Amino acid sequence: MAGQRGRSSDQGARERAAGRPGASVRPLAGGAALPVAAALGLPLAGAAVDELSGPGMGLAFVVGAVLGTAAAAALSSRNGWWWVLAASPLVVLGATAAVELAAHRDDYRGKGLATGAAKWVVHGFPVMAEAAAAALLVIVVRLVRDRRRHRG
Amino acid sequence: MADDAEHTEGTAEAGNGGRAAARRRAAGRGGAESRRGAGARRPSPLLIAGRVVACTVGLAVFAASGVVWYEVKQLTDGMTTSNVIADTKKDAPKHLDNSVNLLLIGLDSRKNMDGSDLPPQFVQDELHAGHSSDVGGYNTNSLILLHIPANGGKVQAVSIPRDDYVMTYNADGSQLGMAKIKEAYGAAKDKADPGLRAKGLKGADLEKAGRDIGRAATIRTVQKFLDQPIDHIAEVNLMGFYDIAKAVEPIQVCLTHDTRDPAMEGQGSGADFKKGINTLNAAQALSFVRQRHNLDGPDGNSGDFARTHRQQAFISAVVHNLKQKGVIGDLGKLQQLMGVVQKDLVIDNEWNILDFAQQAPALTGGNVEFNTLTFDGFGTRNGQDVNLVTPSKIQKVVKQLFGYADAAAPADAADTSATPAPSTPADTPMPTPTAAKAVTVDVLNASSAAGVTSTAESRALVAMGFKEGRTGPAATRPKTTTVVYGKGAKEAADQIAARYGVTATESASVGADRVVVTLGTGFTGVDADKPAAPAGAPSDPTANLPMQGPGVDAQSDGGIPCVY
Repeated sequence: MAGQRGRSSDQGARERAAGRPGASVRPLAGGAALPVAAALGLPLAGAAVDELSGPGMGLAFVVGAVLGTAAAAALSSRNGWWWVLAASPLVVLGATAAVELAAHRDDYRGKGLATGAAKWVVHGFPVMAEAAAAALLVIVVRLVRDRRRHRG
Repeated sequence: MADDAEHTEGTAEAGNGGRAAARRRAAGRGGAESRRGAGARRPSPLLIAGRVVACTVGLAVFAASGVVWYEVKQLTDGMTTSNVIADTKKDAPKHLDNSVNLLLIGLDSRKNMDGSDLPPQFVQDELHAGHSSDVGGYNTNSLILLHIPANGGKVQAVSIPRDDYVMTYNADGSQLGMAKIKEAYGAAKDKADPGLRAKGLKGADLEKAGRDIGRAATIRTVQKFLDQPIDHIAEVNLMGFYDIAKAVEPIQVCLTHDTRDPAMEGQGSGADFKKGINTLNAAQALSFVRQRHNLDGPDGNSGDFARTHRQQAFISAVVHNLKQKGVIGDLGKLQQLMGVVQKDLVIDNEWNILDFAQQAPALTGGNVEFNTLTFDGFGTRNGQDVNLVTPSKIQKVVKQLFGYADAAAPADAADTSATPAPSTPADTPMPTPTAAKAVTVDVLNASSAAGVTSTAESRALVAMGFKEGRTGPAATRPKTTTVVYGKGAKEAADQIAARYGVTATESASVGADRVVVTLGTGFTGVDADKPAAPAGAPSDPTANLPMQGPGVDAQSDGGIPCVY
């Protein structure tokens, strides 16, 4: 199943790239909407679920961030991978900060904000690493498949 | 075609795996693109700049997060944590604000974390603690509740006298029976032991599970006794104390008099100190906080209580010492210290080192005031000397001390002890044995001091668990208060006499199971009843609270408070 899903998204990306010659140099235009939505939306949704179900980030955020980054890597063009990998740590931190601040604005004032930010970083790092690893895995899979296709 | 070249390159490197490969690929690709530029479309310089910036920022954030994460992990890894706090918080009294309450538990155990005995020779020679590993058991000989206010302000630390006779609780919150508060830990641990063994636990696992039961029992007992929620705990045993002292020695402390307490079989601390500043090594530091013999201070503060003040002064001195050495605020040095103490220090698993970093400055500015909870008097229960206490009274004092004066204020001065505990009537057992409940107390008043009435006193005594008897003016005019009892009422009379600081006498003229209290002409009220007394709230809410002996202010004497 996973293989099939990978193949179809891979094909989709190829088709988009083929149909839109400009896509490879302008990854954020048009066809990038879906990967961007996935990369931002899923982590934010995960963070929101975690925040509503208890204090701090938890499993839903990890799953959201990992799936979001992986989906973005799967859906984006090759040039988009750059942006996916570069943005993933920022998205993880940003989503945490945005949701935490929205939920507990009063707790994060002055010294509280500094401590809070340190906490986000400490909790965020493993998530960043997992999300980046997921994206890399997707990229590797896509590259291997492409190479096989070219050889075949 | 250019894409094809990239595929091959990317795949080969991805075979090596990891982010490094990705980064090399990213870097390599920059070159590939510029090479490619001649033949194909050249990416706009803006896009290239954008990519470089994005990758740099992304990588920097990732790397910086990694460094912070690693540092914090180093600091907390290897720390023994206990996860009982989540359970004990479930039925904890409600927090009135965002303050943090931290319970420091000093465990008098001569055993290691895994239940093995400390080397007897070491215990005797270095700890001066008696060579038997059975001495001390699992008594929580030091219980200090730190209250860190939500919005800055002075940190209040209250020591609970270890012999306070209170209702103790099991780890699950069920009653364990009246006992000295220090015994809750060991009693609950012992009680749970067969069950834990039946579950197949043994060795270090059994010890760890047993100690968690003890911690939970101590937390619940203190929570109920003081009617304050406990957010975090830190437990240190004799060995841990020694290690901490070893890590920070030499430590300067200050005494107001010369003192000696030679070490003998399981008793005596080996103390030998001079008046003024003393510089202690780790073993001496242990003597300093453990001495309780030859410690009868001029303020009537004897033995255990003077020792409590020693402990408070020592904590102040250590914090002062750490601050002077620049350990606090230096992550590296803090890490070193943690490395030393983590093997005998237990904290709760919800204690976030980052939260603590935020709270620590409140503790280090000399901004802590230590007080020792008062009690009604000495008594004998089950053949042991105990401190008799009235939980509702203690709870009021603690509330006031922690700045919740409004919550505690409604009772008026003359009446405080007659008011039942507001929230937890079922949880405030009177320290009165069943036998004493049958004792009737008559109160006769010879005092003309404002606010003193025989009915108010009678109510206070009823609140202690006695039956209300006659009240009214006294026929005689004794200067000091007298407590006279009839047959079978000795124990009750002793408890009542302790309230007035006098000795009870037996008399044939008083009926059986009856006590007659005559308030002397010099009687102006019981100090312990006056937490809310002064009209017009004083600026320092703690100034007029009844406490056991003088408070120890961490700020006094240049950070090294002098104690008896």
